Amino acid sequence: MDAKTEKSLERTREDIAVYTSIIEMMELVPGDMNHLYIPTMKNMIRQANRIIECIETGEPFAASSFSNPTEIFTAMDLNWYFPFKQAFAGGVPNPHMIDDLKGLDVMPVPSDICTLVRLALYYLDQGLLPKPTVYLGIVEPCDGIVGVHEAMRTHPDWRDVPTWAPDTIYWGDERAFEYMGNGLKDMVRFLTEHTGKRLDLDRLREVVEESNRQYLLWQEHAELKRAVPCPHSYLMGMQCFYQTNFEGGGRPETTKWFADLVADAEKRVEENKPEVGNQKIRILWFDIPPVWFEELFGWMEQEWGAIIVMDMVSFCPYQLIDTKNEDTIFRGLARRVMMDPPMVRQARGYADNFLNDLTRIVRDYKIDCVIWPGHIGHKDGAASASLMRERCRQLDVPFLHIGMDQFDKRYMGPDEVKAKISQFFTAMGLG
Amino acid sequence: MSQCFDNRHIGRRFNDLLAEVLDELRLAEGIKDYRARLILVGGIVDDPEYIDIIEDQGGLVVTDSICFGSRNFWVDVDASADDPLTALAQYYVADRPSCPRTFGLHEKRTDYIRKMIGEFRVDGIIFQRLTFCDVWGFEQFPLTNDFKEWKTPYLMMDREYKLSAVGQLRTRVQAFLETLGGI
Repeated sequence: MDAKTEKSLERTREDIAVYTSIIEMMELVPGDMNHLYIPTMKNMIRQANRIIECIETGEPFAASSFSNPTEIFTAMDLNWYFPFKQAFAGGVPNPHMIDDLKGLDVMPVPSDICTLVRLALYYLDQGLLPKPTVYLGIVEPCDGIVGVHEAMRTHPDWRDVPTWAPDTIYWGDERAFEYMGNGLKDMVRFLTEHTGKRLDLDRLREVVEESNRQYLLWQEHAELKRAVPCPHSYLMGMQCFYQTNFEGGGRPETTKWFADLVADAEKRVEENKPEVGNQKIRILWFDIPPVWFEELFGWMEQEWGAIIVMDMVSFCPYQLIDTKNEDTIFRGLARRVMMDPPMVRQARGYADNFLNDLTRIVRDYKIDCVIWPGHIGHKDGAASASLMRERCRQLDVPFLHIGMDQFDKRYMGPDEVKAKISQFFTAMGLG
Repeated sequence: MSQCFDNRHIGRRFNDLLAEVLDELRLAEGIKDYRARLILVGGIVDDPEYIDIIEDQGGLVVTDSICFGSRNFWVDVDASADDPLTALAQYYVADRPSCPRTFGLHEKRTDYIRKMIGEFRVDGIIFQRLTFCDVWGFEQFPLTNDFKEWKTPYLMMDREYKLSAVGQLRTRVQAFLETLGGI
């Protein structure tokens, strides 16, 4: 392996080492949640190892944005990775983050764009992303996403990597799903042409039926989170998303993990033994969690008894797919990728997409307050912040708009964010 | 005028006025007292004062690739096409150089800028981006590399929609023109 290729795997190898040591520690100190945390980490290690193996053996693999349907990759037996993932190292704090951000500062990309998407370009520019056989972008939901995929596609290091991106329709009706479904069929043809991997319809049906079972179990878990106290912390919702969208869409091992998750939540509800005790404030964190979620959310739990009952990543609006024939499967996959993933779901189209989800979650999950972190990169939501505040007034639930950068602590430091949250809780008489 | 007004009522008058301008330009002596011929690249500039400030320092904006600029009319709609609606769609979606919101057409946008630089004998590039415009923000990354590769001097600037920081803008343009040196 040449030095450039070896460098591109540096972070991947680090992730493997970090997760391996965390698993070893957890196995030394058995906990009652280990059976739910360890499989996710093992999945991350498995996926990272597969990318290394692909490079070592010359087997084709993809780099893809998260909202392209993983069921197709699973059915085609195509390994892939999410280029943005390095920013959050799959969940553990990224030890290189401050250096990465300093490096990002000197790149000719303005700092008012989402730091996460800028970081993806930084990793590519620094030679830290494994060069894929094919690259799959997306053009929704925000301008930053389109921009970064274009910049990555045209980067000198990846200019020769064949690229495909869906032609996503603005509307979300049956005609749009059919158009997008046909686009996904084009994606399969593209993947076959460039990787040699083929899609067998029966295998795809089997995978989609498996992923349907996973989403059903996820919905069941989400229902259980309506209970007071909430059985699980925010970490489980994040894992649900990871398991279906990043890693195991349609793998039987993933279905087993979901079944274990639901069983654990049921038991905790029945026995009134939540993962996080002393719950006083039920929060809707109406965005994705910040990359330093453990520090912030852990503090909220311990200091205030405030628990994130729901957030955009944990929310599960995913509809099940009719597997009757090829067209229904592709139309269903199109609907799922266009309408359901976090941010893609809310940020495309009308402000109603934000408001309807917010209303439903506040009512269904007995939410005490809504926090809109106001991530600097989420301009799509920034335009709706006042409408969200107004809706919260109508629902008689306090609303906090922070104005932080979810991926750059330097923009608004942890102390300032915590102070804002504390002042808000105090002023609203919560906790 | 061409983009915002109802052409049924004022189209002919607009075209007549344009024809008059063209006639005048053909006979005009031209501007000679400039320090450098410039292309303006980037997002929306609908405030002529912004360009005035650049030109007051001695720059002459001879062409552009901006959202309300030449990209809108440099390519014609195929008037001989069988289906005029398809021809219009072809023009809007595919033929005319696009905004960077359109994925996959960076090379076409770049070719357009390069072509304009050659045709208009441009000495330097002023790239301006409206703050919070993500698509031009990312477009600026490959463009910077392209400008270096072409060995064309460039100045990258962020700006507010409302004209502000005029003194700063003036100083930066002055400094840029000085770097163009003996031109």
